[in-house]
Amino acid sequence: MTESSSGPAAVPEPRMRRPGFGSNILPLALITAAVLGFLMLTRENFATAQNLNSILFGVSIEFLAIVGFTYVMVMREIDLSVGSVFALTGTMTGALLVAGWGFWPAAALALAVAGFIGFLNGFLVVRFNINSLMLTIGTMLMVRGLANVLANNLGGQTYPRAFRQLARTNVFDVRLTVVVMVVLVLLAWGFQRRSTLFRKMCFIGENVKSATVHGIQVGRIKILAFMASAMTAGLAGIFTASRITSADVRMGLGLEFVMVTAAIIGGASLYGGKGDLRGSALGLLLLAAVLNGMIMYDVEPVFQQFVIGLLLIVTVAFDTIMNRRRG
Amino acid sequence: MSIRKISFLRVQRLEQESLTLGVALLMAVALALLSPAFLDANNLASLQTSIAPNLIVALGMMTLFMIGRFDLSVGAVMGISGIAAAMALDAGAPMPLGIAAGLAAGLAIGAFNGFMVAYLGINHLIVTLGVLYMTRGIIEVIMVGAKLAGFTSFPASFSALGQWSFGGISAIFVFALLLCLCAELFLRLTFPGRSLLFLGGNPQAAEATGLNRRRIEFWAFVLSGGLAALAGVLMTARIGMANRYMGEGLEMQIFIACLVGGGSIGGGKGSYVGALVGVLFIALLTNAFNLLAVPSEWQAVVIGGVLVLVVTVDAILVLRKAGLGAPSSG
Repeated sequence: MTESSSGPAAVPEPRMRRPGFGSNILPLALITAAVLGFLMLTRENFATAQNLNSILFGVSIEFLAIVGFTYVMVMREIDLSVGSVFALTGTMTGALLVAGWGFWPAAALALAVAGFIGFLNGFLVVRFNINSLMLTIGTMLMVRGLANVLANNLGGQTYPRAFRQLARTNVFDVRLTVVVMVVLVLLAWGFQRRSTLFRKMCFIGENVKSATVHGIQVGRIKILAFMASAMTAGLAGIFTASRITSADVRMGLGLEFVMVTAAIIGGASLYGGKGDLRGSALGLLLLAAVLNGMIMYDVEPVFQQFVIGLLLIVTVAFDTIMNRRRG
Repeated sequence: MSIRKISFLRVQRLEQESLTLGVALLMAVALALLSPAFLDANNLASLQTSIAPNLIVALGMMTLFMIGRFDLSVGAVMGISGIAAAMALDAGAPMPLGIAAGLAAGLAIGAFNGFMVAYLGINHLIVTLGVLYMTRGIIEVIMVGAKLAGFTSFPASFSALGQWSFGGISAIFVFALLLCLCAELFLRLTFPGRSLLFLGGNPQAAEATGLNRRRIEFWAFVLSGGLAALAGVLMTARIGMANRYMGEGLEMQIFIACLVGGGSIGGGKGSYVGALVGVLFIALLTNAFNLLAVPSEWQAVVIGGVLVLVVTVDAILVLRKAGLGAPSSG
């Protein structure tokens, strides 16, 4: 099963005329549907409305976090601090609410902090030409530490009721985040198809020197993408904090690797120049289905970590073999 | 960096190493003044216990740094080799076989890393991070249902291996220092040693002169895995238990140690003495956390902050080097 799910990474053609659009969405959707169908047919407790709802709900929250992340990857950078920023923003919003703040100021302040972390990542990467993999591991540790400071201070207190209700907000019987995900996927479709900004981003990812020569403001776009990545991760963190109802030091642990794997399955590449938010969403759904399926098949939960690591290596291996720059 | 004329340190390429050593010594003096417990025999013993395995792991990591690679799976490798050795001993294997089992686990993981990076050309950070995850997953699977302390009963000879000491100086510590000395001599006096830095500094030129980059990379990863395994086995013998926590988060400490000790992410720099100095710095930093009772979550903040700082400084130095006209390796 783990092998079959690595398949989609092998599908994209090495170079597309219109990067980021219409790449490997259809095969990926078919594979995801096949995995879901397989689980539905073989495990009767998979196809329950409750289980499917919870998968979709989980994916829709993670999806928020992958929005900025995907576009950072398009520009041949990476942001491994998303998991920590996710935790910090969620915990911080909760902590401020416990301290008696209103929801909007608390969320705004937490998101501003996330934006600042993103700015810091982007600024350091752009100004000093730092390898973003390395830098964001550093910020990942730092921000994780700060999130844990907050979480430990809260000592497992539950958040105020109003905040806990946020993630359960429904729009026409569908979770708010699911609606947001659908809207964002549609917007991303248009963005990737029509916007010059997205073309510029792909160009930066393909060849940063030539992009600079052609007058694209590489630095500004990169910093904005890092900020977007941190802020969308923060938004997801706020919803997650509301969903899990109390401070938890394990929140968002390892999320960054799920993001990398899902984004690459969805058509992004460590070598930049492409990426597709719709694909990233499908990648998240596929991973969630595989992990959920493992639980359905009574695979030891501790084995999940192994599978996430394996999927990461396998997808990156495919990515490398398919997209490596020659010469 | 303040040395302008060509000094001994510059000739020996030990500028950053001596700077870090200076900072580490300052920290040691400050700690001795601030905390009376620092010079306590117990604390000095625990410092040795933390420096020795870290140094052994850092020797492997520094080798990778010289050729522009690194290995984030070392902490997990350390953990799993300790467990592998403990399991073999638990099953009644004689001591050499137990040690061999631990080393074999590390060498195998190192070979996997090396194969993926050197022969398939996959990003080393992703490969070793993925392996870190997989190995931690395997450790969890092995330790399901085990007590938190893990394996604790070992033959007396195995425990004696770890606890052997003369006059307050642990044998493992001396062994690690000797290993470091040998590695430094290898680096400075032999052709394969010199070629490591050459390869890292200018891969194209090195390959053009006939160095086999892939093979060197592969064996460097095997070396890193093997040394991490050695450290894991020795630590298991030293502390008398093999559990799922051994080596957790170690990779970042070693990584930082190598960077502050003169290594560079870009490759072509570094020395084994630098690894020693860097490990000393990190050990003193962690020791300071413990002596001054800093909460563990703040320790993560500081470690992350040091990493960001070190990576930024490293990038500035690389930029400056590129500004002088040296070819960039990107």
